[in-house]
Amino acid sequence: MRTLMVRSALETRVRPYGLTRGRTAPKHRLRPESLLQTGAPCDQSAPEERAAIELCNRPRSVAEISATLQLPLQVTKVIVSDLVDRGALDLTVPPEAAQNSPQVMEAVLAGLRTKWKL
Amino acid sequence: MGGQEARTVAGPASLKIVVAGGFGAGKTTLIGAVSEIKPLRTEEVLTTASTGVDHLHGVEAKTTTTVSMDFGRITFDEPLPMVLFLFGTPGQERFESLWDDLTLGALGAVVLADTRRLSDSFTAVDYFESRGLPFLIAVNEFDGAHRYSTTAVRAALDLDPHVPVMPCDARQGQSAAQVLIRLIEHLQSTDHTARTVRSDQPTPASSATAGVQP
Repeated sequence: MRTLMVRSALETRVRPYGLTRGRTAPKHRLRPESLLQTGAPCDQSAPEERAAIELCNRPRSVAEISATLQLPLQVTKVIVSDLVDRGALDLTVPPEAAQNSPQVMEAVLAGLRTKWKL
Repeated sequence: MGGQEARTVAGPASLKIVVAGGFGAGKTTLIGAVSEIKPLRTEEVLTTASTGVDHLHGVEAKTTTTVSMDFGRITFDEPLPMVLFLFGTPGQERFESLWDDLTLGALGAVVLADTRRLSDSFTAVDYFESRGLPFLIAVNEFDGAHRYSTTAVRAALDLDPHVPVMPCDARQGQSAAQVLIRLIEHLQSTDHTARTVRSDQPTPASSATAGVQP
């Protein structure tokens, strides 16, 4: 398991910001809930990058990548931002209807009521 | 690496609600009750200036604190493809940068109150009021906990009249979902809905510069 390789790297006390070569700020503006999806194949990648790419075979958030890879949020943002630059991960764009807030509110309400039979 | 455009693909809308409250108020329990996944934990390492005595002149002492946040996820296919994340705020202390990261772009917030320690809710109430983020108070009714009327809770927390206060059982999915529904209804009844159009999520029209920091 690639994820396990990352964990073992952390267990041997690799400093998290070593994985980002000391960089602390991602280039792309990412939030914990920003969703990413696997993009173009990427040859050169570190274990934690491969784990992130594999995880995003369906849309995953920065927070989920951070939790699964057991890396701090900010470190995850830097790694993810690099992968976006390299085309290995794509940012997702919500459907047009979901960019209209009253419609989103209605959709969330309807979704919750259906799911919980309320 | 400068100048690249972020490639974007169509995906679900990503939404979030923040769940705040004192230590032990039941935030992770509530998140777990409605989440389709077992709550996940993410961490952030914060660097703060040390308040202790500096022994080295000219060297600023810093300490790092690791704080953790639990979160859950609810995926909807209908009526729109959406993913709703529920983020629990870390502990009771208010780490501004982290709270800002968690709350920016959020639909709204739930302050989970434990009536045995109502004062633990002050931090969260103050924060959301200062940021203008709509919120409600969900009073977690633990077994055997003394039950206060919603009026008493409102008075104790010195809430504006429009802020909803409701009882809940954070362990029950339906009860937790009811809290989220009440929050959305509250959002619909206020003028705050404009904020829910996420400024940081790329739109098709602006994807050329999507997400790139100035």
